Amino acid sequence: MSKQITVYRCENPACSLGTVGSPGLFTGGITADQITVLTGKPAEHLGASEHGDGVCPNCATPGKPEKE
Amino acid sequence: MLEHLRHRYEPDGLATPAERLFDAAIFPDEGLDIFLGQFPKDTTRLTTSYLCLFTSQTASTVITHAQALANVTETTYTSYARQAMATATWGALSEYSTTLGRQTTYPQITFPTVGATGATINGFFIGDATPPTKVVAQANFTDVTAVPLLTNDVIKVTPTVALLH
Repeated sequence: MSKQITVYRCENPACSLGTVGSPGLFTGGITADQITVLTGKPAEHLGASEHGDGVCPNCATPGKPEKE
Repeated sequence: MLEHLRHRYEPDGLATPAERLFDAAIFPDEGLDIFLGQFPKDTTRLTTSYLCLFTSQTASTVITHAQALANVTETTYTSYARQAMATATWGALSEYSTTLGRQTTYPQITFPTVGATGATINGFFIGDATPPTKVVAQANFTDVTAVPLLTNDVIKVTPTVALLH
Protein backbone atom coordinates (compact mmCIF):
# COMPACT_ATOMS: atom_id res chain seq x y z
CA MET A 1 0.00 0.00 0.00
CA SER A 2 1.35 3.38 -0.95
CA LYS A 3 2.11 5.86 1.79
CA GLN A 4 0.16 8.49 -0.16
CA ILE A 5 -3.13 6.74 0.56
CA THR A 6 -4.97 8.23 3.49
CA VAL A 7 -6.16 5.73 6.06
CA TYR A 8 -9.29 6.67 7.98
CA ARG A 9 -10.55 5.38 11.30
CA CYS A 10 -14.27 4.68 11.78
CA GLU A 11 -15.26 5.54 15.32
CA ASN A 12 -18.87 4.44 15.08
CA PRO A 13 -19.02 1.88 17.93
CA ALA A 14 -21.83 0.01 16.19
CA CYS A 15 -19.86 -0.39 12.95
CA SER A 16 -18.70 -3.89 12.14
CA LEU A 17 -15.47 -2.61 10.56
CA GLY A 18 -12.50 -3.95 12.48
CA THR A 19 -13.83 -5.54 15.62
CA VAL A 20 -17.24 -4.48 16.89
CA GLY A 21 -16.85 -1.78 19.52
CA SER A 22 -13.32 -0.77 18.49
CA PRO A 23 -12.34 1.50 15.62
CA GLY A 24 -11.72 -0.11 12.25
CA LEU A 25 -9.58 1.29 9.45
CA PHE A 26 -10.38 1.95 5.81
CA THR A 27 -9.07 3.77 2.78
CA GLY A 28 -11.06 5.62 0.15
CA GLY A 29 -14.72 5.82 1.04
CA ILE A 30 -18.24 4.68 0.31
CA THR A 31 -19.81 5.43 -3.05
CA ALA A 32 -23.31 6.79 -3.51
CA ASP A 33 -24.37 3.45 -4.97
CA GLN A 34 -23.01 1.63 -1.93
CA ILE A 35 -25.04 3.87 0.38
CA THR A 36 -28.12 2.87 -1.56
CA VAL A 37 -27.20 -0.78 -1.10
CA LEU A 38 -26.51 -0.20 2.59
CA THR A 39 -29.41 2.04 3.55
CA GLY A 40 -31.89 2.01 0.70
CA LYS A 41 -31.56 5.79 0.37
CA PRO A 42 -31.67 6.81 -3.32
CA ALA A 43 -28.26 7.93 -4.59
CA GLU A 44 -29.72 11.08 -6.17
CA HIS A 45 -30.97 12.27 -2.78
CA LEU A 46 -27.53 12.15 -1.16
CA GLY A 47 -25.51 15.22 -0.33
CA ALA A 48 -21.90 15.48 -1.47
CA SER A 49 -20.61 15.07 2.07
CA GLU A 50 -22.54 11.87 2.65
CA HIS A 51 -20.30 9.75 0.44
CA GLY A 52 -16.83 9.71 -1.04
CA ASP A 53 -13.38 9.84 0.48
CA GLY A 54 -13.33 9.46 4.24
CA VAL A 55 -16.83 8.05 4.66
CA CYS A 56 -16.82 4.52 6.08
CA PRO A 57 -17.72 1.91 3.43
CA ASN A 58 -19.25 -0.35 6.08
CA CYS A 59 -21.57 2.05 7.92
CA ALA A 60 -21.54 5.31 5.91
CA THR A 61 -20.32 7.34 8.89
CA PRO A 62 -17.56 9.93 8.33
CA GLY A 63 -14.20 8.67 9.59
CA LYS A 64 -11.14 10.43 10.94
CA PRO A 65 -7.81 10.45 9.10
CA GLU A 66 -5.06 8.29 10.59
CA LYS A 67 -1.37 8.98 10.34
CA GLU A 68 0.49 6.50 8.12
CA MET B 1 -1.09 -22.24 13.07
CA LEU B 2 -3.55 -19.56 12.12
CA GLU B 3 -7.04 -20.31 11.04
CA HIS B 4 -9.83 -18.54 9.29
CA LEU B 5 -12.56 -19.90 11.50
CA ARG B 6 -15.39 -18.93 9.19
CA HIS B 7 -14.14 -21.66 6.91
CA ARG B 8 -13.23 -24.18 9.60
CA TYR B 9 -13.74 -27.71 8.35
CA GLU B 10 -14.19 -30.10 11.20
CA PRO B 11 -16.97 -32.58 10.47
CA ASP B 12 -17.92 -34.98 13.20
CA GLY B 13 -16.10 -38.25 13.10
CA LEU B 14 -12.68 -36.93 12.16
CA ALA B 15 -11.05 -37.77 15.43
CA THR B 16 -7.39 -37.13 14.87
CA PRO B 17 -5.66 -33.96 13.76
CA ALA B 18 -4.03 -35.81 10.91
CA GLU B 19 -7.42 -36.44 9.37
CA ARG B 20 -8.34 -32.78 9.27
CA LEU B 21 -8.03 -30.46 6.35
CA PHE B 22 -5.27 -28.05 7.34
CA ASP B 23 -4.40 -24.81 5.71
CA ALA B 24 -0.79 -23.87 5.18
CA ALA B 25 0.55 -21.53 7.79
CA ILE B 26 3.97 -20.35 8.83
CA PHE B 27 5.88 -18.25 11.25
CA PRO B 28 8.75 -17.28 8.96
CA ASP B 29 12.20 -16.67 10.41
CA GLU B 30 11.49 -12.99 10.89
CA GLY B 31 8.24 -13.86 12.68
CA LEU B 32 9.93 -16.32 15.01
CA ASP B 33 12.53 -13.66 15.76
CA ILE B 34 9.69 -11.40 16.93
CA PHE B 35 8.32 -14.19 19.13
CA LEU B 36 11.71 -14.89 20.67
CA GLY B 37 12.25 -11.20 21.13
CA GLN B 38 9.16 -11.08 23.34
CA PHE B 39 10.21 -14.20 25.25
CA PRO B 40 12.78 -14.98 26.47
CA LYS B 41 14.59 -11.92 25.14
CA ASP B 42 13.87 -8.35 26.13
CA THR B 43 12.69 -6.70 22.95
CA THR B 44 10.24 -3.87 23.53
CA ARG B 45 6.73 -5.25 23.96
CA LEU B 46 4.75 -5.36 20.74
CA THR B 47 1.34 -4.01 21.77
CA THR B 48 -0.36 -3.75 18.40
CA SER B 49 -0.12 -5.95 15.33
CA TYR B 50 -2.03 -5.68 12.07
CA LEU B 51 -4.15 -8.19 10.23
CA CYS B 52 -3.51 -8.00 6.49
CA LEU B 53 -4.81 -9.86 3.42
CA PHE B 54 -2.55 -11.19 0.68
CA THR B 55 -2.96 -12.09 -2.97
CA SER B 56 0.42 -13.74 -3.55
CA GLN B 57 1.33 -17.42 -3.13
CA THR B 58 -1.78 -19.61 -3.55
CA ALA B 59 -4.89 -20.56 -1.62
CA SER B 60 -2.99 -23.52 -0.16
CA THR B 61 0.59 -22.26 0.08
CA VAL B 62 2.45 -19.61 2.02
CA ILE B 63 5.99 -18.26 1.98
CA THR B 64 8.89 -20.46 3.03
CA HIS B 65 10.62 -19.98 6.35
CA ALA B 66 13.43 -17.91 4.89
CA GLN B 67 11.16 -15.63 2.90
CA ALA B 68 9.89 -12.34 4.25
CA LEU B 69 7.59 -9.40 3.74
CA ALA B 70 9.10 -8.64 0.33
CA ASN B 71 7.77 -11.99 -0.90
CA VAL B 72 4.19 -11.22 0.10
CA THR B 73 1.83 -9.09 -1.98
CA GLU B 74 -0.75 -7.35 0.13
CA THR B 75 -4.11 -6.72 -1.48
CA THR B 76 -5.02 -3.24 -2.63
CA TYR B 77 -8.73 -3.70 -3.27
CA THR B 78 -10.67 -0.44 -3.13
CA SER B 79 -11.18 0.73 0.49
CA TYR B 80 -8.87 -1.99 1.90
CA ALA B 81 -6.94 -1.16 5.04
CA ARG B 82 -5.03 -3.28 7.53
CA GLN B 83 -6.91 -3.81 10.78
CA ALA B 84 -5.23 -3.20 14.10
CA MET B 85 -5.13 -5.95 16.72
CA ALA B 86 -4.37 -4.93 20.28
CA THR B 87 -2.58 -7.45 22.46
CA ALA B 88 -5.14 -6.84 25.22
CA THR B 89 -8.01 -7.91 22.98
CA TRP B 90 -6.76 -11.41 22.13
CA GLY B 91 -9.00 -14.04 23.73
CA ALA B 92 -8.38 -16.26 26.72
CA LEU B 93 -5.70 -18.89 26.29
CA SER B 94 -7.15 -22.32 25.75
CA GLU B 95 -6.27 -25.82 24.70
CA TYR B 96 -5.65 -26.37 21.02
CA SER B 97 -7.12 -29.55 19.62
CA THR B 98 -6.92 -31.78 22.70
CA THR B 99 -3.44 -31.61 24.20
CA LEU B 100 -1.70 -30.53 20.99
CA GLY B 101 -0.88 -27.09 22.30
CA ARG B 102 -2.34 -23.77 23.39
CA GLN B 103 -4.15 -21.11 21.43
CA THR B 104 -5.69 -17.66 21.53
CA THR B 105 -8.28 -16.24 19.15
CA TYR B 106 -8.95 -12.63 18.28
CA PRO B 107 -12.58 -11.45 17.94
CA GLN B 108 -13.85 -11.57 14.38
CA ILE B 109 -12.35 -8.80 12.27
CA THR B 110 -14.33 -7.21 9.46
CA PHE B 111 -12.44 -5.62 6.59
CA PRO B 112 -13.78 -2.64 4.63
CA THR B 113 -16.53 -3.28 2.12
CA VAL B 114 -15.02 -3.65 -1.33
CA GLY B 115 -15.37 -0.56 -3.50
CA ALA B 116 -14.91 -0.35 -7.26
CA THR B 117 -12.11 -2.92 -7.63
CA GLY B 118 -11.95 -6.25 -5.85
CA ALA B 119 -9.25 -8.90 -5.53
CA THR B 120 -8.78 -12.59 -4.98
CA ILE B 121 -7.54 -13.24 -1.48
CA ASN B 122 -5.41 -16.29 -0.75
CA GLY B 123 -5.15 -15.78 2.98
CA PHE B 124 -4.02 -13.41 5.66
CA PHE B 125 -0.91 -12.41 7.51
CA ILE B 126 -0.03 -10.59 10.68
CA GLY B 127 2.21 -7.59 10.24
CA ASP B 128 4.22 -6.02 13.03
CA ALA B 129 3.27 -2.44 12.13
CA THR B 130 1.48 -0.36 9.54
CA PRO B 131 2.91 -0.38 7.01
CA PRO B 132 4.45 -3.67 8.11
CA THR B 133 8.18 -4.15 8.29
CA LYS B 134 7.97 -7.90 8.98
CA VAL B 135 5.58 -10.80 8.62
CA VAL B 136 4.90 -12.27 12.04
CA ALA B 137 2.89 -15.12 10.55
CA GLN B 138 1.06 -15.97 7.34
CA ALA B 139 -1.75 -18.44 6.69
CA ASN B 140 -4.27 -19.56 4.12
CA PHE B 141 -7.91 -19.86 5.00
CA THR B 142 -8.78 -23.15 6.68
CA ASP B 143 -10.77 -24.38 3.69
CA VAL B 144 -7.74 -23.73 1.45
CA THR B 145 -9.98 -21.86 -0.96
CA ALA B 146 -9.30 -18.42 -2.37
CA VAL B 147 -11.89 -15.73 -1.67
CA PRO B 148 -12.81 -13.66 -4.75
CA LEU B 149 -13.87 -10.26 -3.47
CA LEU B 150 -16.17 -8.26 -5.70
CA THR B 151 -17.73 -4.82 -5.28
CA ASN B 152 -19.86 -4.61 -2.10
CA ASP B 153 -18.37 -7.82 -0.68
CA VAL B 154 -17.19 -7.92 2.92
CA ILE B 155 -14.63 -10.37 4.25
CA LYS B 156 -14.47 -11.26 7.92
CA VAL B 157 -11.55 -13.12 9.44
CA THR B 158 -11.16 -14.65 12.88
CA PRO B 159 -7.45 -15.25 13.44
CA THR B 160 -6.17 -17.86 15.86
CA VAL B 161 -2.57 -18.22 16.95
CA ALA B 162 -1.56 -21.56 18.40
CA LEU B 163 1.71 -22.86 19.73
CA LEU B 164 2.06 -26.62 19.69
CA HIS B 165 3.83 -28.72 22.32
